[in-house]
Order: sequence, then structure tokens, then C-alpha cells
Amino acid sequence: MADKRAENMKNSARASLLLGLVVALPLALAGLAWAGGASLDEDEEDQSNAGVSFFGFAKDLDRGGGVPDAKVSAEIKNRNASLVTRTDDQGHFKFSGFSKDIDPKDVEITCSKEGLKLERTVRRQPNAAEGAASIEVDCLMVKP
Amino acid sequence: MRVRGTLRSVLVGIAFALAAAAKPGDAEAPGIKAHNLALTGRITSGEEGAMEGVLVSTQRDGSPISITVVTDETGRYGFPVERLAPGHYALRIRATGYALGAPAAADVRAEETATADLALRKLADVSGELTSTEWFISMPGTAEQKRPLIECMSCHTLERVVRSRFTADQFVGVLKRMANYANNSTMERVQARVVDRAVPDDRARRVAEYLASVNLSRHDRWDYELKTLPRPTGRATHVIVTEYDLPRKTIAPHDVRTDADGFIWYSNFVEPYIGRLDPRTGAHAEFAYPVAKPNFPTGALALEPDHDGNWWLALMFQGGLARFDPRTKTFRMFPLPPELNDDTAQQSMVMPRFSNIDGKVWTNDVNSHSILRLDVATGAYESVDPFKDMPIGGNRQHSPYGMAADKDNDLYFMDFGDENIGRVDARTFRATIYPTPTPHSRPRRTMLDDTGRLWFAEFAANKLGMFDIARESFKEWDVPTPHTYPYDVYLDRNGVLWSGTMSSDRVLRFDPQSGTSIEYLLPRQTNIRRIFVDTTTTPVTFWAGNNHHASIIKIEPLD
Repeated sequence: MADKRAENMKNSARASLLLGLVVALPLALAGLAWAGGASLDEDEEDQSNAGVSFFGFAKDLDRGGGVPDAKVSAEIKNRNASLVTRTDDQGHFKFSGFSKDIDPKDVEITCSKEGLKLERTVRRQPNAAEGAASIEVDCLMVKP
Repeated sequence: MRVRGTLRSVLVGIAFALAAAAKPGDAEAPGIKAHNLALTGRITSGEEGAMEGVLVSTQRDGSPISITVVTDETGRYGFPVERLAPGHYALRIRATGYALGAPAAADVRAEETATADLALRKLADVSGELTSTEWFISMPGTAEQKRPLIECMSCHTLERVVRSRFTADQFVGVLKRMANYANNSTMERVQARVVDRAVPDDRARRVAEYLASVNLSRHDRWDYELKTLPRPTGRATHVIVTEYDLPRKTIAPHDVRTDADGFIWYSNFVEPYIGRLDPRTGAHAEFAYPVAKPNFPTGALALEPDHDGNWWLALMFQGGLARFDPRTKTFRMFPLPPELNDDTAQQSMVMPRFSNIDGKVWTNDVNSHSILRLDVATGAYESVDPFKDMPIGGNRQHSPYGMAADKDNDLYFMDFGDENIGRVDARTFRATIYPTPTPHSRPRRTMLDDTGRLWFAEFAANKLGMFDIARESFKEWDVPTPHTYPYDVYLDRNGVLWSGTMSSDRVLRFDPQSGTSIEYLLPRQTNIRRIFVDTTTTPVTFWAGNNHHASIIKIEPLD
């Protein structure tokens, strides 16, 4: 599905790599609310508790290229929850930022796709120029 | 205007039906003209001649029921004989920019067809006729500037905002005051929160500056063009709309559903009653439940049935849930325990659909942004915070809202504060969070179909969405009119989606396979929340409440 999020993902990833900017700006809803129950200005950005975000590609090592529509899961060590998205047509995915209290080392990214198995993941820590807010994780997949 | 009775009009009506059947593209659409008619006529204006897409409404003297049909491409309208009993009927129309030339009425007699041809006059000023959607389209400003205004519609239309003369300084105070009204407020019954909510000056100021730039604080007229949506055409005119006025203006029907006996049940958003309407007669009944917290706002939001045919209500600021047995007409109350029932406690949702599986009913707490689960046997509540173990989005505020349950009573919820669909496993409380493809979509209400697909309205994204549970994947569709802000969606037996909104006075019928859509214009200003589609009828029947104007609405497509 070539959707807006996929396009945003690609644009944001490029931006983070090239400019070293934070790509996962959380949007604040904190505190303020109309009578209707939501925020006075729900799209106001509030980075005060924004932690690390993850992005990357699912790659087919046998055929080369990205793996579209792969399931990508993020799990935090010793937590009873998971975050799930799917790769876009290019095999790209992104998870927007976790809270600051999450140690990136505790976040495990895995991918799955029918007809392929995950061989390993490769994590690239950002250098100082890129900032520490984004971590790239690629899923390297092969035929079973 | 001429009003006369004539049997010949029946033949005229049949002729119209034949003519309509021959129209390209509408050959399969029988339309209203295929019926014998109790009342018919033609709508014209000096500017347009015959007018298509004019809503013509009738209401018999003393009746709470209004019937509305829509003119075809020749300006003709017709009310089937089975819809209008003999009597004296007042007529009204809706055609943006036009009004009746004079008050209109018709006398309907048995075995005759009355005729009322109506000449409309063009209005010099259309500002009183714009929907909130049309104000959004008309107002200058960025999407970011307009976005905070989508919350205004919970209590009133945008006309109230743009017609005001508040300066920015004055608006700051207005905004702070409104932040302390309860969600379950209408203009007929404003309710204050017990616990005030602070609004920082800078945020209030930013919104206030924008509002003062689009209202009448600086000019006697708006300095921007007032844009209106087109009148219905083609299939959008093939419809009968029935409105059932409820006996008090304060009644705010929020969630509406039918039962197996043909009654319509609704939650009253501002008063402590569940309501019942008999659409066959218009008879209305109310059943009161006890007010546990007298100084707190009253009214319930979600209304859902359980497996045994009981109705469950989410009691908002009264704190807890209520179960109503329609056979015995009795309530059982499930208040929150003291440790959860503080002054901010607010239950907006309830999901008892599969409580027969494990004896548990899901609900939420709006203020703490958490999910609660009731043990029906003991009355005890458990609390689940699905975002505690998956703290995504920095400071973004998550808000579990619309709910559905699968056959194992696992919960699926809409993260209305943000952009996620969530799943909570009923046995382990393990949470799985699925961000929607469109960021900041604010998914609102939802339904789970028989094939395991969640259908939901993306309020802030102006989209309808589908989440395939087995595939863990999404699809989204734009709604055709900008600034519609869909509240809810319902999939009918034909695979067609229906959706309602607080802003456009229109009901959307959308085929996700073909991408084609029909928008039915409603006769009056209408604030729609939870919708229901009765799939036992042919064609299906759409039901909703007019939350701000105390009526129940039925839409019957004619094709």
C-alpha cells in the first residue's frame, strides 16, 4: 500500500540521515482539552519526553532489494507489549519515537514475511553528527 | 404555490417513474417515483428554473415525525402514500441559498394525490445556512490553525464562532471557560466539570488570534468568500429521510441502535436516562437510572448490547457502567471502586459484546487514558494501561476510545488521542499497538465485522479505515468532502460503508471496492455520533441520533 505514511517514512528517514535532525517529533496533546475532550492544539510539537525512534528496511538477501509488506515488530525487554507495523513498497519501515525512559538497547526489532525467514538484524548506531534520536535497523531475510 | 388533490397525479407519478427508469445510469434506481404518491409537486426558482436536489420535508400537525424526500432532475418530488397519512402537513425545504417564497402546507386525503408546487426565492445572505464543514472550507487559514476547531463541534456549530465579535483578548477567556465544560454538554444543557482544567496562556492566545481573524471582531461582514457544497444530484436524491422529534429539547441521543423487536434505543448524552423509540408510531419512552454523583455532569455516551440482549451504558462523569434489562426495565449499576472513582473519573466507552465468554466487560477511563475491565459477577474493576509498557510518542496523549471485542473477548480499541489501533489480550493483558498509516489520524469509533476486519473512522485524517486482524494490515480511504471529520463507520451486508459526522449535515455511503460514494444531505442541522445500519431491511436502513437537536434520524435509500 503506497500510502502517505510510507512516503512520510522515506522523507523522514532521508532527512534524519542527511541532516542529523530528529525525525520522530512527538506531537503534544498533554493537558489541554476542550469540552469535547481533546486538545486545544493537538498538533503542537512537544519533544520534552521524546526518546529514540527506529527506522530501516527489510531486505531480501537472496533476490536483493527490499521486502514489501513485511510485518515489523518492536518489543521492549521485560514489557508486556509490542508495536507492529508493516514495510512499504520499498521495504522501508519506521517507528516513531519512544519515550525517553526507554533504553534503545532494550528495544528489539524483528521482521517476518511469509516465504522468508529473518536471518539477522543489523543495527547502525547514529554518529554524533546525525544525532542520537534515530537508530537504523535492517532486517536481513532469506528463504527458509 | 398551488395545492390541489387529483387522482390524475398518480398517473403523472407513474409517468415520472418510467421517465426516471429510462435515464442513463439510473436504470437500476427505482427512486421515489415508482410509488403511488400522496403528495407531489415541482420546485422551481427564477434563477434556476426546475431545481434538483431540494429537500422537501413534511410534518403533520401535532406529529413528532417529519418525512423528507428530494427533488429529481426535473424538480419533481413525491411522497409515497404509505408515508403520509391523511392530514394537514406543513412543508419546509432545504436548498442552500434559497427559501420558500411563503409558508407552505398541504392537505393530504385518502385515495388522492395532493400537489404542491413551490417557488423558491434566492437569499441575499447564505451565512445562516452554512454547515461547519462549509465554514471550514470558507475560512482562510492553515490546516494547523483550523485543526483545534474540530473540537468546537462537540457542543455547537462553527457558525457560533464565526458570527461572534470577540477580540483575541476576549477569546482567550472564552476558550479557558469552555475548557471547563464537560464533554457531555449541548447548547440546551451545558454542564460544568467538577475539576477545572488549566489552559496555558500561550496556547489559548494562539487559537484566539486565529479565531478573531475569521469572526466579526474586525468587520461587519466576513472578508472571505462563503463557499457552499453543491446540492444532491442523481442517486443522492433517491432517499427518504425520517426524523423523529424527541419530547424535550434537552435530550441528546448519542449512540443509537435497533433491537430485534424493531424498537430504537439510544443513550442520552446529558440526562440520566436510556431512551426507546417505536419508529412505527413515534411513541417514546425513557428509563431513568440512579444518579450516583449528584454534583457531577450526567448522561451516558456509549450504548452497546450484550449477548443476552441487555443494554450497557458508559456513564461518563457518573463513574462506572450501567446494565439495563429491557424485559424487566431494571438497571444494575456497576460503580467504580473508590480508588478509581475520583473527581475526574470518566467512562465514555463500554464493550460487553462477548462478556458471556468470560464474564468481563471492557470500558475506559478518559482522564487516566487507561482501559478498565469489569468482572460482572463481583463488580470489581481491573485497570490496564496499554501504553505503559509501550511508551510511544514522547508526550503524545493516548486515549483509548472506540472499542470492539472478538469472540475470545480480546479487546480492540481506537487510540483517539493519537494514531493507533490497540489490541489487549483478555488472558494476559498483553498489548499490541498498530500505528495507522496516516499519522495523527485520531481513530474514533469502530465495528468488527464477521470476517475479522475492524472498520473505523479516522476523525482528524478525514478518512475511513480498515484493519485486517489476521493480516495485521491497514487500508484507508479519503472521504470525498474535505473537513467532514467522520465520527463513526458501519459496514453493511453489501460491503458498503456508512459514516456520519458532526460537521457536514451529510451521511456518507461509500463503496470501498469501487471507490464510489453518495452523500445524503439531511433536512436540518444534524450532529451525528454513533451510527447503526439495520441490515435486516432491503435496502438497508441507516439510523443515528441528532445529538444537538433531540431527534432520531432514519435514512432509507431507494436504491
